[in-house]
Amino acid sequence: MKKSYCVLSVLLFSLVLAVAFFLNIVPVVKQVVAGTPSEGIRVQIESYLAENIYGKKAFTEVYGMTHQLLALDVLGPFEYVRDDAGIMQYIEPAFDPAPFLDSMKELKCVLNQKGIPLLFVELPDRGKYFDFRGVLHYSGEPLPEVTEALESSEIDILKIADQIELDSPGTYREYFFPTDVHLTTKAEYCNTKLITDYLTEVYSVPFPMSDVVYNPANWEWRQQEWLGGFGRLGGRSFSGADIFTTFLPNFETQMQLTVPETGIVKMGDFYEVMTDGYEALGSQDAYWVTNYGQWPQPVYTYQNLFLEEGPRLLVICDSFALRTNTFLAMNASVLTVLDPRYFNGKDYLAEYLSMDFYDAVIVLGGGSGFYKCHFVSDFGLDKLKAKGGQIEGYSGMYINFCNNVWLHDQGVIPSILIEGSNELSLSGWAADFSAEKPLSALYVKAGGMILKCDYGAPRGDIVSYFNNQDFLNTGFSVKIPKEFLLTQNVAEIQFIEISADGTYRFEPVSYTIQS
Amino acid sequence: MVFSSAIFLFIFLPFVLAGYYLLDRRFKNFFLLSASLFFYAWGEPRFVFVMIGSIFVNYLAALAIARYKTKALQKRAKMVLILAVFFNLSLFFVYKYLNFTIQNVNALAALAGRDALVRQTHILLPIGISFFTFQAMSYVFDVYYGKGQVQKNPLNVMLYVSLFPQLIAGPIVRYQTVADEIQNRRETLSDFTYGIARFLIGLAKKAILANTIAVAADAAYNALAAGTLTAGLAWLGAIAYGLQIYFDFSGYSDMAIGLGLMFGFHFLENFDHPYLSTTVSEFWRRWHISLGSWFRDYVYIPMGGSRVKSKARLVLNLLAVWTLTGIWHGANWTFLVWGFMYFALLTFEKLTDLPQKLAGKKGLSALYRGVTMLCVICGWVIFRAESLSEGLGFLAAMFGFAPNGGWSSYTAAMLEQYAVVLLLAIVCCLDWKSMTRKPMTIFREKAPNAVFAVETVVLALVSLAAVSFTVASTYNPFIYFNF
Repeated sequence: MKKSYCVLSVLLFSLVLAVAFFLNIVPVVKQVVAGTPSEGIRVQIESYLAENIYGKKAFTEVYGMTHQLLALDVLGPFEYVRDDAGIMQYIEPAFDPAPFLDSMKELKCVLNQKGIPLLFVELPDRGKYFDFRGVLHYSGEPLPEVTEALESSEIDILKIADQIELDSPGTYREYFFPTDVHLTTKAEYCNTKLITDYLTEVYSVPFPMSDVVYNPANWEWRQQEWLGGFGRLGGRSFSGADIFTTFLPNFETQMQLTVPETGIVKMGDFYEVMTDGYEALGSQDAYWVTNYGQWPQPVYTYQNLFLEEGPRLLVICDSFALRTNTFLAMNASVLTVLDPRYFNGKDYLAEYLSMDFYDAVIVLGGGSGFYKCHFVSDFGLDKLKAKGGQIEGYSGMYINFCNNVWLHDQGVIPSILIEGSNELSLSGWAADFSAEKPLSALYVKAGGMILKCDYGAPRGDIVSYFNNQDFLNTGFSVKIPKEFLLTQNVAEIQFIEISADGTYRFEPVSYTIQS
Repeated sequence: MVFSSAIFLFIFLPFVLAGYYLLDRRFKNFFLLSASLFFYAWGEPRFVFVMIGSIFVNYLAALAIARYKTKALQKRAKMVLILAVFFNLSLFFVYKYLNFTIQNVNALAALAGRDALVRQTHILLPIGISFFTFQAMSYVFDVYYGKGQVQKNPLNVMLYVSLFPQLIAGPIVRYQTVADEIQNRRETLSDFTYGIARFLIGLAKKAILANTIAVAADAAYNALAAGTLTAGLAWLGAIAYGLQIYFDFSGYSDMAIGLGLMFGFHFLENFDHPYLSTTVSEFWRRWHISLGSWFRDYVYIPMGGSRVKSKARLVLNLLAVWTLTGIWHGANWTFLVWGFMYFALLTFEKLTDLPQKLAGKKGLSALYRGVTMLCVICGWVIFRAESLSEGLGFLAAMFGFAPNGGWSSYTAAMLEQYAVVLLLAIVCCLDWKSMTRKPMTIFREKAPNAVFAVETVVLALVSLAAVSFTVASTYNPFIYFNF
């Protein structure tokens, strides 16, 4: 090779390397100087550099363009796939929605007793134009088994797909963000009207502000180009750029936001209370979907201070309803949002339902994280059912252990727990919820025998859960000889609760012994 | 740290190149050694001391061998050689095979109805141990056989073994190849230029082709695990993996050779268009050349090689080499079976003298080329599998025993997704340099500036794409990192 060519090549290469070095060494040094812990510093530097590499956006564009040249619709290790409508789908592993379904059944039971409507909102299928539909699970995919299970539990379902026309890739791209898993703002605005209209029509829940809220002329639309979470992986050349629309009311509003976990209390107009971070307007990297609402909090409440006579709504949802909630809040006096993905074991739902405050409960979610959540606890339902009087199921007591094995299902004591042991050993707690005190005594009736349970053991967890110190000495335990159960052919046992005032009642639920 | 990472491309390489060329020659080796140890320690901070310790032991062994040879104490020299080999193989065994051995011993005990005989260890595998151990042994062997001068300076031995371009995934550089260059190399402009091109081509092979095709291969193996594998998808996955491993490993070797050239080292080629091979014997002269030649020169030939009196001895020699080649790749029965497969094929070719018989017979040669590629692909299936049962299950699917039939909508969608990339990869397997040598020579004579401009622009665009994959993508395994 000619010497001049070599010189030119070396100079070019050296120049590129030098520029790359000087542009990127600064953030790396800053990371080191910032005093990161010595352990894991290598990983921290590498990940910091990966996030802050100079020209990352431009490189991402080239990455997306190269995929186009190679006729690839897949980005990364087969997680992000672009479908025939140009919408990117996020591939997820298949999962079991049983926790969600169990929760919905329990919730339906409780709300039936309280006479509060429960509405599940089923979003349209995001993947209509997705080649791998039916083969791979993707975020936002409607689950037939969920629909079927909810219908068989007689839970009301509002199917958005039946209410709107999504008949072409164009309309799909208006309803769903191509570069993000969520719905467009316009789609959520439309969903809100469908939800409130349905609640009015079917359950006579009034929404006095509908004419104002659902008049597009009353809203200012601010639009800007936006790359959603998926789009930032492949650049705008891969799946285009979205248009993010911010809806701001041009009618007067006065809201209050309360976020119990963080102590945030905000008061102001829609812009000040309902949206967050719009100072960054103009930055394509701001995550606009979550600039509505208080993601990622387990619970927060909006109060519409201009609408005292409006309905009070409880919404159980994930981020697929962030903007739906803000529009709903304009049409309600109170809107409480619960996101079970962030519950961390606490039973927020029972707490809020026990207030007997809400006119309707709406459930809306799109991600697998939502459907893998169990959002009611048995403790919570105990409390709800006991307060409501004698309701189907048990009231005031709970068996935790049978023969030292933790129980979840209180209806049946499995036979396996009888085998290999000389006695049936039960322990749990029981309280007089009418008097908010421990019982005087607890007995168990097994066949013709009545045994007194050891009662009064301290249960600090019950105190914490109900936030009532009087419930401390509510633990019980009892041992029933196996020989007696077998010789007397005892098929079920029943507890007798002696209340604080000396009156007694049978625990409504009897426990079947299987052998 | 891997070559196709942001920290290597944007921080480490520019810094090391700048430091190397700015320093006086007296300090270049020390600087390069420091950079190499830093490179290794970045990924393996604890195991860098294992490597240093191993190198030092081999350094002392070579010194002792050289000393005994000068004093005509051949037996003592041989004893030291044996001890050095024993040390290296013991280290290799402990880190690479001990977990596996104990696992199998305990499995045998369990079969006999007994409790575990030995407590299971969980020793981590230092990255590159297969390469630096064999390079260290190469040094000792070459000193013993007089193929290279002993290095009095331990830092030079350390530099030879730990030089970062070839430390992690080869090529296995023989001491005799670089012995002179360690102290007397000269960096030239044309070497540096060629090194740049080689490095960037390797990066493109790895980042664009290998990493992309890997998704197709993994999808097929995942389908096997999920019970949805069809015959079509199995073939797609098998071919994809064969291409993935080639571009991954040859890409890395290109980068290693390119980096070596930038610092004045001339490593030997490690791949020579292996998928153009007509026989299995030829395949192994073109695939992972440095490993094949290492086993040939340090195991096969000392055992007598092909020049043995009996065919039984020839077979035994081949069995030894291919058993070692198999297990060198990893501590799993799959690698042993893979090695045994090649033993069987190569023994067949040697005993029947097939390569010579096929020479000049185009039709038969083409047919056997197809058979060779089929065997290679099937071999990769076993090689890639986590277990023998997985590998056999995959092969069964390929040959019509898939429970899900021959085709599915998923298979069609996967083929549609990866058709272009796979085609491109297959085209890139051809020996374009040889095929275009004549026309390119004419073009270079007639329009050298235009050729240079076009080549530079194409290389720049491909490199930009490769770097973009590195920056944007998080999926970046080096297959041979397991070794």
